[in-house]
Amino acid sequence: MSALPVVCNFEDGCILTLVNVDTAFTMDEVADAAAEHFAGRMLPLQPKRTMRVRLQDGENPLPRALTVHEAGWVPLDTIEIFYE
Amino acid sequence: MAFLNRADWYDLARATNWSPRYVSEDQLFPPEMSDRFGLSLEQWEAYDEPFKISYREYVDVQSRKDADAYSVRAALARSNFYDNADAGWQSILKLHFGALCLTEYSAVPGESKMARFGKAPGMRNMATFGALDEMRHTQIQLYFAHEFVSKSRQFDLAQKLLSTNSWAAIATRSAMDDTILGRDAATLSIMLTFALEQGFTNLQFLGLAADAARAGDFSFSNLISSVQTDEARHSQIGGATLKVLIANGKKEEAQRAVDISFWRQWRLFFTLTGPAIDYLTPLAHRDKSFKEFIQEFIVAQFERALVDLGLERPWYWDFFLKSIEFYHHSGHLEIWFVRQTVWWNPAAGVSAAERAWLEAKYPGWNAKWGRLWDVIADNVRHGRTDKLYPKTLPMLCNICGLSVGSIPHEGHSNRGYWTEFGMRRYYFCSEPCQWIFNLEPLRYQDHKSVIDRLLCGDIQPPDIEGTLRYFDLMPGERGEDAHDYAWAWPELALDPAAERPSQEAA
Repeated sequence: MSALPVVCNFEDGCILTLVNVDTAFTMDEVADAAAEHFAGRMLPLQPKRTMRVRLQDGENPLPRALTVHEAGWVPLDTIEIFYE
Repeated sequence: MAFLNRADWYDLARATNWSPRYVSEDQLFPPEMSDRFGLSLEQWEAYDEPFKISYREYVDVQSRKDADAYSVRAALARSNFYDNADAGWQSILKLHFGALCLTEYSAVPGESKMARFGKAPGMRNMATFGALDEMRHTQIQLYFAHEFVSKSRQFDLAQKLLSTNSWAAIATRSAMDDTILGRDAATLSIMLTFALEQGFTNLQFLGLAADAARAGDFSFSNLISSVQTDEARHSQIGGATLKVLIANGKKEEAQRAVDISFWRQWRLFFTLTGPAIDYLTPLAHRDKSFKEFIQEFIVAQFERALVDLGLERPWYWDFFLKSIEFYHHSGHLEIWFVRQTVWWNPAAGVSAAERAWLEAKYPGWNAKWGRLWDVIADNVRHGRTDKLYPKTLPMLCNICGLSVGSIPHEGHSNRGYWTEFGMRRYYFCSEPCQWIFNLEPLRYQDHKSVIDRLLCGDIQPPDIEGTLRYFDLMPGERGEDAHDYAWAWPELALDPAAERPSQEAA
């Protein structure tokens, strides 16, 4: 386990933000870590909706149980968080 | 004693090129300092500055300008304007003096480089006056800023900012070093005087002067108008350079210099001037919107200057026009959110009346940025103070040093750009910044953005407080909301003296 800085593009946000994630995080945990910096600060909280993660320009969301390590991310990869 | 007319002797008097006998031409004018375009001294003889002035005339005019500016200030010194000014306007003064005083001074080596290494006698002559201009701008603006130091410690940043590691200082130093210290005289004459001064200083010094006059700040309005009269003169150095280069088959290289510098300066100026004009200036005193100033001073005037010279619009012109609609709105919101990292107190500028103005000037503003401010205002009203500050940093560009912004509530309209070079990833806010890096990666590879410094351990502890200390911003200097969040309560926005309601139940 180690910290990995990624760049987060949150749905409906307007500023890309640096977010530290743990390589053991699943995609659901990555989404939660990213939401901490957007939802409830500049964007409305939407606790009943499921968040998904994909890489910038990735067509499909990554599996929710996939870990950061398994996804093979490198520092400053850019991820998009969106609501299902 | 009768004097000859200037036109009768000027061209002869400034014909100071000669044929060197003891050193080679390249030793006298090293290409890396003088002219990377490779033109000869003879080719540069065609350089013809459009604004001619003698030293006697220069000193006479400048002494009168200084007398005017200082006498207006002295006459208004007891007016207590500052004490009675809106907090948003006070912030504009802090922002302006902090951002510009020593940036003006950083232009002195640029003008001096042209004065020594310019191959055209006319350039050397104009740039000598330009160097004196920039010293005057530094001195007079520092003097005016000093008057306010006893009012707020944040005015110290007029002296201090560029020697700190704040994101704004790093972005400014990087842009000015790339424009001035790292360029030859011919290139910097294009980048500094044509792209920056002719392109953008009208925005800060005329656009803001109009707002200052309407706000009743005649001292500041008079000061920056005085500065701009100098800029208008020495900014013409670059246009004459471009004519020589184009006439000698160097249009493509000249165009590239314009394109690089115009984009770098646009990134800085929308950050500096956009929020000042559209958010910090009190509503009653606003003249035009930032977009309207851009359309007048840049889309109309600068574009015409490009066309008149035979140059093309920069390749990213369509995106530039689009970015006028959103860059500074997202930039302002981001700066307000990270307000502890700046030396002025950002005014949110989003009361009901201000929102109506923004919607009229930028149709759709409420449905985009307004909805973000709704969430922030709700947090203010419910006392969720922890939600009013960031827990991390925005991603910052490896070229311009600024955040990566786009239009909110359009899904994922934003995107990052990056280049892999020399075992690492360089990150960019936009295609033009990435293009600038890719042109000359060796020029930029060692520059570290704030994010690089955070990730490589320069900033300790690697958190917000550690970052603020790294920025050398101490309590008392760090920004806070200019109006103590009064804008979040509509009834307070109408009557700031009214008692603030108790916080709503969360």
